[in-house]
Amino acid sequence: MLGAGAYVGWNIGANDTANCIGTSVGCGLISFKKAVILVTVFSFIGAMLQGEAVMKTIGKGIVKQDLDYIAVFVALISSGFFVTLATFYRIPTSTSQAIVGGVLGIGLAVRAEIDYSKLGTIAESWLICPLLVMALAFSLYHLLNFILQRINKSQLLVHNTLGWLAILSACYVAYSMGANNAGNAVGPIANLDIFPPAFLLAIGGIAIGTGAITYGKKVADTVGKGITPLDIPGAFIAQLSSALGMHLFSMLGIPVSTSSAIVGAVVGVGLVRGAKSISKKTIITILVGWALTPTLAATTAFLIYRGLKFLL
Amino acid sequence: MVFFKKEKEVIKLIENHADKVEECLAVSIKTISAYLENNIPDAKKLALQTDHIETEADMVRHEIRDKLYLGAYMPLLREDIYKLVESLDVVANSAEKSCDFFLNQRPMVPDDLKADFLKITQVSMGVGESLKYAVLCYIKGICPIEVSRSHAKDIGLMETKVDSLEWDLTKKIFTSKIDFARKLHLRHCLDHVVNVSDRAEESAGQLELVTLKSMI
Repeated sequence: MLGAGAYVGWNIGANDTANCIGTSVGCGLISFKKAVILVTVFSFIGAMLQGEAVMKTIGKGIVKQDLDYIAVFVALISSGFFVTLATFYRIPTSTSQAIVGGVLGIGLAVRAEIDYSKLGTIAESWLICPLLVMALAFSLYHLLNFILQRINKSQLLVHNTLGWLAILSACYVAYSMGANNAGNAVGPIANLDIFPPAFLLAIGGIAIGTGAITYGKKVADTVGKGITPLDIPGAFIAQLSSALGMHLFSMLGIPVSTSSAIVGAVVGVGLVRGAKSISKKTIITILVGWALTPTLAATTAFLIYRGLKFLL
Repeated sequence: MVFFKKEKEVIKLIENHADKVEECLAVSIKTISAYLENNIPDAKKLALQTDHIETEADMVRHEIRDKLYLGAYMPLLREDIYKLVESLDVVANSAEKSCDFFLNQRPMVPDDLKADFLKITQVSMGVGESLKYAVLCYIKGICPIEVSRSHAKDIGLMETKVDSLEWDLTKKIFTSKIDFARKLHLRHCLDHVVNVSDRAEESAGQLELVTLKSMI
């Protein structure tokens, strides 16, 4: 069971964690190796300090019934599989959406009471989060431009400062991601009440770090270079806006995806230079990935669970 | 301020390097001017001075390189900074080579072409001040980026003027009554002189590229 949770955590690391360093790595600020070390450390701290709120939502917020071992296992494996598939194809898909889909599929399969209002709130956040972060990034980029044009300082020093701030904001995003997404990995296991929350969050945090180190580069390249070319101020604003959006939702206990936040932020930054600077093909691929991931995870979890129950 | 001590040291060194390049170009003009006035002893002294200044510029460039790769500025910015400094250094090198050519090969410039040679030398090597100002404007942030870019464009215009002078002088050389070997030698000499503004234009291009990255 812990292995399944760790597998989901690994997927988060491979797909979502790369999103918080994709912009910095993509614009050449920091090497991928150094960036993943930072992500591993900060996501673990985030998971341990603030991961419990989302873990509780995932654990018992959507499905109002205690789930058996098989149900939890199927939910985790179904959602994890589709994220692995997306990562293989370099699509920054939403791990949060996959796990919510997996849990929903199981909930429907066991005919449990589904909290549709909670589900609706989460689904709304999937729409609102990228749009909010996109608007935030767009506004902040204009604000930064306004400030940069009015300061009589060496542009080299200013860019150097922004570069450091971009790396610091990447750490902040990693922290927020740990706080928000470690709960996604181990939340369904928390539903079983057999492990202490701190232990589960530690497993989630470690798994996220491992995923980032072993398989994170593919999606990082898509986010950092595939959507729109980023410069130092762009990378900084994208990461700051994404972190602010993520932190806001994390404080509310709503599981949102780092992917949706960072993709929204990168698009917002790209829009400052005009819609032509954004790769529409990449955006459409990402949107399709976002729609298919929870749907397929829910359907697969539902079918596998029903199949297993029929056979056993 | 405690922050960015290394970075500020690099800015100071770039300022020092730009001063050396400008000085090198100014002394080069004096060297060639003395040569054209047949004042060879002064021309020799000035050429030696040009060599010294260029060597000093090289030393400053090495210091900048060492400071950059010992941690000043983020890796992403280091390459651009060093390329800019290197391109400035090439301008000083070409001025030094031009002086060396005159003093080493002693081209025999006919009296009726001396004024043209002096004019083209003054314009080609006179880009030093504009180039220095354009670079410092950006590096030190003493003026908006647009102003720095405008100065960089001015260098391009000066190079166009040098091209025009080069065309006229080449024509004069090849329509003169001197023998063909001397014509070729003078043409070769002219190549050295105009090379300075060509390299300055390249340096200004590098500066424009760097400033473009700073514009949102």
